[in-house]
Amino acid sequence: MSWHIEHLKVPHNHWEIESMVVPDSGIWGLVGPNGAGKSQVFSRLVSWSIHSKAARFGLVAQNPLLQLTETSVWDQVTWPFRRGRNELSADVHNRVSQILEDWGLLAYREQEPWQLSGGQQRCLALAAMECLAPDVYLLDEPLENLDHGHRNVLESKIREWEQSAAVIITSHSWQWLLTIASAGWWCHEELMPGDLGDLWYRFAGRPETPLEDLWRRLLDVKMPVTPRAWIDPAWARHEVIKMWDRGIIRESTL
Amino acid sequence: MASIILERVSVRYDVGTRAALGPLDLTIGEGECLFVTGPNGSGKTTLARALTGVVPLTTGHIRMSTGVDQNKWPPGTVGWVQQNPRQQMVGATVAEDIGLAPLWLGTTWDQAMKQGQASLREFGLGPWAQYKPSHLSGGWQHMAALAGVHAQDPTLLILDEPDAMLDSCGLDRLKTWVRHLKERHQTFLILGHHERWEEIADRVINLEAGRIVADETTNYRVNEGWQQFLRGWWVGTDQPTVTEVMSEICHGTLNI
Repeated sequence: MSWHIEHLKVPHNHWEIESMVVPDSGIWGLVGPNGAGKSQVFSRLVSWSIHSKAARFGLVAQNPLLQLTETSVWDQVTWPFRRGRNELSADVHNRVSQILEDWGLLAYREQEPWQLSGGQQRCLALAAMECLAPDVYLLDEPLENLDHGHRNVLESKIREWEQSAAVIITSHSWQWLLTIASAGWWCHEELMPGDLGDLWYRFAGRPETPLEDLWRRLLDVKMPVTPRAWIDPAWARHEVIKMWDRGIIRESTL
Repeated sequence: MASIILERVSVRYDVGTRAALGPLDLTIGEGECLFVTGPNGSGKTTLARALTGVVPLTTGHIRMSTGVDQNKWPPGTVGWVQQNPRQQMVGATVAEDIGLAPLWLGTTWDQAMKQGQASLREFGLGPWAQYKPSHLSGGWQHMAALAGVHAQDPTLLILDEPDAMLDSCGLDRLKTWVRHLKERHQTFLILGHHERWEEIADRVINLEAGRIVADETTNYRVNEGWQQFLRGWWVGTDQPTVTEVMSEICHGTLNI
């Protein structure tokens, strides 16, 4: 089941989402320049989900500290389950402990969230959301502040979550987003759905790596390459060799 | 300006917990660019806090090589772009916020506004000048914080994850500014995770559990052969051609 949302206003930027279908599973990218309104789209989606009661949308905000309200890491992830009780059921206790362990936070369970580093605070916000298991995860720049180890954890978690929930991610790292998601929306005065590789080719700014630049040039001259192949050197090489074998490159005057 | 010397510096937030930083010894050379990296919780931001004096040192001290102790440094010696830029924006508007540092450092109102306007232009913030900082997107808030320390013109500049939340235009602008800082021999630290800073920095410091585990001169870790091969093309002098690049890839002589 997916959710069809219509006429959702993005207040600061003065535009409106005319129509958007939020899927019930998979990984999706929400991309656009700074100031386009991506975070506002997320907060409007949360607001829609609360008012419509149609689904539980869980937002991990750009600034995780804004949603860390409790006095210890443990309280932060367990407060929704306590509901006036002091003791958690064994199931919840074990599940929450495992999630904290996965994010490398179990050793910090008694620590105050504000004392954690920026990356650990983001992990805590993500872990707290994982404990709630929403129908749709809205992750606003989840990659920021994370070291390589935690990026790997995030990636494997996202792949796990997408089995039973939709995961919508904003990020400016095209390379990472193209690795993990195949489709999404371009956000700039409207929401334009599309294949992420196509959106990258149409809208991404100056290439960050020579391989990305090479791929853009190949697409510019309509070479038969997959738009997203540049994210993986082995895949890129495979496509180059395929074109070479078919004689396309040798005869070209690029 | 002189080098900055940290001697046996350690920071502990709570009695009984392990030190968040140190003890560490570090010399930041005049005009040097250091990239400080390490896992989450390794003490990068605590190092920035120690250098700016917002957390007291548990042990050790920080001084200039001229002998001036940290607590005698004049205001504005250290400029810090924090991980969360909202924490440092106090002006009613973006323009006002950017002009605050020069004003605080004793310039006249007109001069402060002039310096602020120059920073606004440099970081492409003109359209947002009269906005409340809280109404900017995360990326633009970051850009405004960068413009604020640019206007401050500090002796030591600390950029804590400066590339966070920036789109490709913002990143281009940041990298141009960082290169400009290097050209004018600004002493600065970049704290973060992305390899892109290894290309720019003079030294890479690796922290783990608050201690320095590696301190090495940058040796251009990204694929240098690939970079060199493409350099002519990359900077737009049309050599080598795309076909030549593809040929090299196909024949395995160019490792991508």
